[in-house]
Amino acid sequence: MTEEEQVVGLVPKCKLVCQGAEGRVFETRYFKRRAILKQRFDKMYRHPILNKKLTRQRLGMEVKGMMKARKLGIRTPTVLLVDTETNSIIMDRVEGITVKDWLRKGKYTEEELGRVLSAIGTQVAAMHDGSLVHGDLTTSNIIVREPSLELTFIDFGLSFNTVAQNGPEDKGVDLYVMERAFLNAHADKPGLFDKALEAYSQKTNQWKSTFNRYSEVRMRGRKRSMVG
Amino acid sequence: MASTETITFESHPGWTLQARFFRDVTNAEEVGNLIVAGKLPVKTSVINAKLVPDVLPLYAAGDKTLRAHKSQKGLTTRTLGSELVFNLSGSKHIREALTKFGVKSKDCTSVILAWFEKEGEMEEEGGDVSGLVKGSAGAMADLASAADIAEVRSHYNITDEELSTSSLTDCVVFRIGAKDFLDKKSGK
Ligand SMILES: Nc1ncnc2c1ncn2[C@@H]1O[C@H](COP(=O)(O)OP(=O)(O)OP(=O)(O)O)[C@@H](O)[C@H]1O
Ligand SMILES: [Mg+2]
Repeated sequence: MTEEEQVVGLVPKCKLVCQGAEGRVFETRYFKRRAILKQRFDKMYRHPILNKKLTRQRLGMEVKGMMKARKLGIRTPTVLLVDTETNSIIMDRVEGITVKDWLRKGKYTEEELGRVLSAIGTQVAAMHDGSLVHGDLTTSNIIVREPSLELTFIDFGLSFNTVAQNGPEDKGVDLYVMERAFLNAHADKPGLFDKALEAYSQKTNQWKSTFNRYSEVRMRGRKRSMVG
Repeated sequence: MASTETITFESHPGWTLQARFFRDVTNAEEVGNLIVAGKLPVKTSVINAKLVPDVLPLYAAGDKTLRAHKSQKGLTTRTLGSELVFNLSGSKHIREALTKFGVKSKDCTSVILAWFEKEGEMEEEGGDVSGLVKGSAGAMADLASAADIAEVRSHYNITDEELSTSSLTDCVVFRIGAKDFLDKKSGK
């Protein structure tokens, strides 16, 4: 065992690849496959029992969101095991790079860029039409595989199933989060989100209501940033 | 003699799951009755192979079983053998799971026999009851061809959309791995 390798949730040879505020992501192996182990930790400032409950709930949101997305034809990693003792999800490691890195690398043709953005819009629309809200649609949470440009959505920890009357608002917020993520991570490339939204509008059959709420959410966001 | 496949677990050093595959089995119901009557070793599972399309589901279910065995909460069912069968199923209803994945039915003709072993543990009784199964030996690699795809899909509720992006085995192992969090009817 090398220094950086550790045992997490009983799984040996885990190599840390990403340390976040709420969890850690490791690379490892699971039954002959390359795997990712995602461990969520209890936030220390919360009440311990509530804490445990909330962490478990987030774990549930993540795997349930993935299950729902798969049923709607969206690619997600395959969950291999969930360990509730250590709040870990072991899943397939997806080949490819994040859309964020892919955009930053910039080694694509206009046609390829168009294909990726339009696939993002279409697949988010498929999720939304199936009442699934992703909750964290950033370009780091979509993996693109080359050369097929096939997309895999990850990081469903904030996803949920929206109920009818909240649908437009929840989807509008989801789109707004996505818009902000594109603007923040790719400020040098304006117009990316608009291309994705264009494809979204063509695919969804709830465009009107979602778009109205999205526009409202956007206004609220702009007012807030003018005040703050 | 059937060849025995030894499954080792990265997360559980010292533990193995030994597995044998039989086809053209003629006495599945009889073997199933022995299990129900508690006459087989507690660490042994007799599994209806047509619902198991690959070794990976066995591995994931075995991993889950050993984790439960080591945890404070303990097993959901009574024995290691029944826990493995329960974990293979998409259902949280114990009896339903054991019935579906067990072999107590006349039309069950392909069977997986599996039993846990722990290194260095004195065995009062071995888990291998191959002698009781009347059938021909197969290799675990033949599981895919013995699986009943329609039945696997209906038990785990696997849609065409999901199969367009994922293999059948991956769809199954997802439901085994995430079982505790999915709805009773395998995520319906
Ligand atoms: N299944 C996977 N295959 C390949 N890479 C992955 C996979 N899961 C995560 N990653 C990589 O690890 C990074 C972080 O993972 P993820 O987004 O799931 O965690 P996070 O952002 O810390 O989660 P959260 O926002 O829920 O706290 C991803 O951006 C991606 O680069
Ligand atoms: Mg992320």
